[in-house]
Amino acid sequence: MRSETAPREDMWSDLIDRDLDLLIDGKQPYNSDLAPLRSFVNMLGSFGATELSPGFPEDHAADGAAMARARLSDTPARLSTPRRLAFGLRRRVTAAATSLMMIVGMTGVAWAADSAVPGDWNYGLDRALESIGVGAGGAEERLQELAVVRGTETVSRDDSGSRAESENSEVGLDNAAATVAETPRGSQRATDIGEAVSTLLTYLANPERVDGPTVSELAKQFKQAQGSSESNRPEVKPGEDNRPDDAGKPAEADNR
Amino acid sequence: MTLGHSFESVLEAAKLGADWAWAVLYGEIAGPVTGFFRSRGVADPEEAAGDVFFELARGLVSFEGSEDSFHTFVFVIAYKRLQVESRYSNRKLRTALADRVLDRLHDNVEVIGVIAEHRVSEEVRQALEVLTPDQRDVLSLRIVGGLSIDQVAEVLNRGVKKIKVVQRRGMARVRSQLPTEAVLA
Repeated sequence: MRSETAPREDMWSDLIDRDLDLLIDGKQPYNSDLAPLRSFVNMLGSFGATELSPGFPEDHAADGAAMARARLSDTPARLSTPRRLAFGLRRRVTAAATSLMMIVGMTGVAWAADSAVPGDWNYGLDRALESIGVGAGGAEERLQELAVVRGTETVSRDDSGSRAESENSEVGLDNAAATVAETPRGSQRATDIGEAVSTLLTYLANPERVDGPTVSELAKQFKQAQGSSESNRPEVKPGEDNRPDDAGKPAEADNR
Repeated sequence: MTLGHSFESVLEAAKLGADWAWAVLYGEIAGPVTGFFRSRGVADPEEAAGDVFFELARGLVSFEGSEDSFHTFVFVIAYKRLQVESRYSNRKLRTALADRVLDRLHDNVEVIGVIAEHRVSEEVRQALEVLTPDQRDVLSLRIVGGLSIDQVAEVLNRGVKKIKVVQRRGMARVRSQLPTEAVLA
């Protein structure tokens, strides 16, 4: 329901609108209160009258004509300014191309790093990517890395698991290999042991600095980690096994 | 400046690919379109205007209408371009004084004029800063673009009454912000 003052307000608004139109058209408004706005209107209007770069609209005009002629003759137009995609599309294409390049680049780096072994320049990257779940090869990858460090073709679960512990580095590595192979994936124990193995492997990644006593010390630390994890491990009742299907199995599949 | 009665013949010649006709059309709209982008703080107003011209060249063949409709058509494209700029750059009103001065120095033109022009631009931009986005759209299209209330309503896809209200409130806000001495000067 409109109030009684509504027509008067409408009339007042109409008068203001008419005066604003006059002001914007560069004429004198009837309402003197609006006169001070003239400077604002003049200044804002001056944006439309600023000098343009030499040849700016002319080049585009020539292109517009060329495009019109090309459309009539059904031939491609030769443009003097760079050919443009629609501005929204251009932004999207640029963004998509950038994203694609980043994805391809990162995938390539991750793929290259995934096959890295201790001593390779990108071994650290491999470990970092695995820590966030990218290319996490788990026990198999650790075994392959250990094999390379030892200079052997493969480290099977059978022969790595049967070695006794020792103070020398080779047995330390075998011990690590055996433990990695037998550790259920995804458990806290696997995490603890994985860290210990990583420390060992990272040290071994620099052959110039490797010496027997240090490797032995690291192997001890690894063993301690292994022991503490085992002490925290929940008891597994007979007949129950929380290992994944492939953990701890005899190396039948590996030896095929 | 408008083409008036000659608009129809210029438009037909442009559709047939006459260079002179395109030069006339672009000569009409280059200033307002570039000024519109400049008043809204677009980093490279001429590049943005170039995008509008390109879209216009693609769409002019199918355009039918009066000169007023043509201007509306142009600013519909320009407004979309401004929205793309805002969406991707999230840029507030900014100055490009250094670039413009360097351009003028390169062209061996007097720099003082550019700086004076920049000072004026800044005052206007500061006045525009106090406005809502709607008010900025309406006032820049009205004053820089030279569009009527009806045309602005079409560009912004709003009702005429709404545009009038926005214009009124925007002007009132600017009026309250202008210093008295500057106003009287």
